[in-house]
Amino acid sequence: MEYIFHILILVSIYGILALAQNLVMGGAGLLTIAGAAFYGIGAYAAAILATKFGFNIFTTLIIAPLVAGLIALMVGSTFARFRDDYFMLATLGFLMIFNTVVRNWESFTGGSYGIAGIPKPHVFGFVFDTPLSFVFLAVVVLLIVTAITYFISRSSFGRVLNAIREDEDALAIFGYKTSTYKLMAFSIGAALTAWGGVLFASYLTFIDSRLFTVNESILLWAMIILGGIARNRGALLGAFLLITVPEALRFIGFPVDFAALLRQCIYGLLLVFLMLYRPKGILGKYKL
Amino acid sequence: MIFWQLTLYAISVGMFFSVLAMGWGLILRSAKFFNLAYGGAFLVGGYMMFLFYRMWNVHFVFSILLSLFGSGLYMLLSYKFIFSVLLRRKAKSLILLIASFGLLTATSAILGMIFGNQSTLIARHLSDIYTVNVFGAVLNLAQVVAIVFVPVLIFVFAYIRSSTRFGRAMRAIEDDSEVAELVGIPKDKTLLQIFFISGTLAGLGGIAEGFDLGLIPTSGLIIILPTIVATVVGGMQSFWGGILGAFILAIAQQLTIVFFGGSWVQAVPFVILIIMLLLRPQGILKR
Amino acid sequence: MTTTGKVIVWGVVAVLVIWGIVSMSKKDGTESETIKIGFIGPLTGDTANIGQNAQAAVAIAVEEVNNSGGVLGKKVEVVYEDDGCNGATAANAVSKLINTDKVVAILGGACSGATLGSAPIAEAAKVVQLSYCSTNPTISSAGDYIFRDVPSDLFQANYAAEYLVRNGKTKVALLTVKNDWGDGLNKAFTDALAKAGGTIVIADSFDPDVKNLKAQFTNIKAKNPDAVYFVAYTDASIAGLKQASDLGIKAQFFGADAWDDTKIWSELGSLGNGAMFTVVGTNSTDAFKAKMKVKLGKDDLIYCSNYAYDGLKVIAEAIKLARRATGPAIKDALYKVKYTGGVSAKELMFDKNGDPTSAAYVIKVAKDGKLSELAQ
Repeated sequence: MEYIFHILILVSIYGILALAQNLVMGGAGLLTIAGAAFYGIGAYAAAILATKFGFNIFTTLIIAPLVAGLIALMVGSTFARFRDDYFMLATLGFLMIFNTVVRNWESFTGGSYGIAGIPKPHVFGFVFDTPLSFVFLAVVVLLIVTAITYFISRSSFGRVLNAIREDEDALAIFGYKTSTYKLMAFSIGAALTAWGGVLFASYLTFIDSRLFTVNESILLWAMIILGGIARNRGALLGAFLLITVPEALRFIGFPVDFAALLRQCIYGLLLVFLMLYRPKGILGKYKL
Repeated sequence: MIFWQLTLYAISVGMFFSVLAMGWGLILRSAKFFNLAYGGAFLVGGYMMFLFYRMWNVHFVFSILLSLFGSGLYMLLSYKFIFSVLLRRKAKSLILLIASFGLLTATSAILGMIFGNQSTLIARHLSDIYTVNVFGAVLNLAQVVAIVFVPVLIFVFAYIRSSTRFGRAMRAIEDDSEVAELVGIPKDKTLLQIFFISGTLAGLGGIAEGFDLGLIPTSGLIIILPTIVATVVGGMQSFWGGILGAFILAIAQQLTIVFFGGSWVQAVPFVILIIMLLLRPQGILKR
Repeated sequence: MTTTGKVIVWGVVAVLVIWGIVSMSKKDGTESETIKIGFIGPLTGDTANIGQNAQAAVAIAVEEVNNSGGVLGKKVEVVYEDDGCNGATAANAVSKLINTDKVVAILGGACSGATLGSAPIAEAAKVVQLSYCSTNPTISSAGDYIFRDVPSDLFQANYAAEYLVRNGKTKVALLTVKNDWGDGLNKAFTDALAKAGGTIVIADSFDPDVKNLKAQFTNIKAKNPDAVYFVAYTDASIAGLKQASDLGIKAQFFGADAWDDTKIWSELGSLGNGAMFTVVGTNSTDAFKAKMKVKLGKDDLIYCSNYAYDGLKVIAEAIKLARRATGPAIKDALYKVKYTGGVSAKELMFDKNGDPTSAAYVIKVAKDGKLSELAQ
């Protein structure tokens, strides 16, 4: 039972991440690999504030998105002129630099030791330290993020974003300041991603830089694409499948070291076949 | 003395990435997508060399030829069964990129299952790779071969590109593949050849890595990122751009280790990349 | 939703439901009849051999304890969990052991990162955690409930520094891998060398997946040190020692316990000649080695497994001494226990940091692909 709670928590956290990044990738059509960086920024903001300054995790749920959003605003405005592949490369660069800085800045981020002993959230004397209570917390945050992303995709702001994705030049001719819209989407996406990071840090109580690498960003991509890009429902389904299916494979009973590689192999082939036979994903409407 | 030694090291690392960037750039310019499966060909070449040369004691020259053929074939088959299908469908470059990433992941995992996660070295005895004194600095055999042989390879390629039928077909496809097809250039056949050649170049890199440092299944992804950066920094649309980028990268890495320390080296290619994209997004060299 | 999608979703749901029923039905009964102890270690991944080896050693120790009457009249039961050698998975595993399995003590983890990541949870829950393989110095201050029977890297670094200075190698270059293990040894060695009267002439580090250390060694060569303290795992050690030998660095190469891997020396052959390293001594018996062989089906004993075996025994001893199987009681008893006749060290006692009071090291030296112990 505890194990199922654990899986539910992970699905919720990755659901948050996938929804948030889907807003950037699916909504605005910006190819970003910086997902893991904002995930990490959220986690580190919570961890540092909680362990060094004694903040409650609930307080960091408010501060961390602001930090991530501000950083995204700065990064995004620097990268504003890049499109498509170039934007992807630039965000990859940002992620790699973030990772290296975290690993080397020992006095602030714990360096290669990471940060241990991150507290669980507590409110009015109630501590979310059992898996079941944490499931509730994670699901509530997930619902909030779902609501926000649905609201955005139905709003006029969301419609402009979608139009930018389809034909940015045309929209620019109509007088929309497309770069501002993209920057907004990038920052909101980063801020929501940070929530996933806060929950993750508080749930595991330990983080280090190895948790926020390119592989994590690519996992988010895979979730969004598998479920169906530009569909909020798709991002949720993708997160659910890519967390639960590998966990299920764990129990089929291969030798342990082999099982990890087999998972990786299946995951790789899945991507290839998906691209060949169903590039819009399971629930997708929008074709990549 | 340090300066001379580090210069030689930078040159040999630059040669290594030149070969990789040259092969990767071929696909980028002709098929117009970021082919991460290139890292898979790198691994296939290296591990095949290990299998033939070290495990089965095949003669050095035969082992190299077989491994290069193997890595070329890997790339060719990937084109035949995956990328050509997607290209014909006019899929977006993102789809091709993701498919190639999937292929790289699967290839690394399969090689990991066969050869294990620990470092695999090709040399039968490490002491066989003896050292040579070059005006007071030291280079080992593998580095000397790289510094002597790679420039030859580069110029042969430049010649093929500029003066042969295949080279002209290649350039026509790079310019505009649809026009090229209209004037009777066999696009599919030329692309097959390009993928094969690109694969052999990746395989060559893999073999060099296996002799010099040892291969691990994740080497494919580790090596492809700086290769991409070198190509983009030097100029994606230019044949010489990737080579220039490779040397810039090699020099920058050495300087970082000397002035900042080894733990910052991973970030260097990407700092250069971002600066470059901001200042001159088309890369240093234009077409 | 398409048919394929539905099939996948329902398949997954079915698996999860079956699982839930199975895991719930297991929970009934047996609660108070046994004393439960948790075990964490890397059972998957590239360090899985360490965890699996230690698991076998613990299984042997449990059989022995139970065959000789158990503890407080009850049988001991060990719950094994994978920590994947990283703090995040370990934290998860430990909270599962404490909350679900209600263990009274935890053995592990093996990797320092895993132990550091999970220690705060054990500390907060007042459950004793005893590591059998984590040597990072910071574990000493990880908490009151955190113990280890394997000596801290401080001892190893001290031993290496004193040995080098005693043999006239006072100018030392330092090159360490950039992770918790390498950074820990880096700091410990820097302090120890200064105390012993030597100087660090140059210090640098490198990322764990990097094997090209040519520029670092070029810098080191220019400083002309008497010795190089080179802390790396197998892959980087093979490549790095070859690069150093290419450059013709004549200094004494000195490494840490990860060099106790025959692959390094068989690959390097004569190039590794003269390289030395420290490794924790063990008090292993032939009887124990034979039991391990039966358990594993092959002749393979990693030194940590000696400590894992003794770790279980010493916890059992502490429970007997405390006459109660509760966290605080076991903790207090562990600070008083004096355990002898183990396979790791002749005598095991804990100091106020929960570290062993004494540490025995041996120095091994490589020659033509073979290792031999250096006569002291």
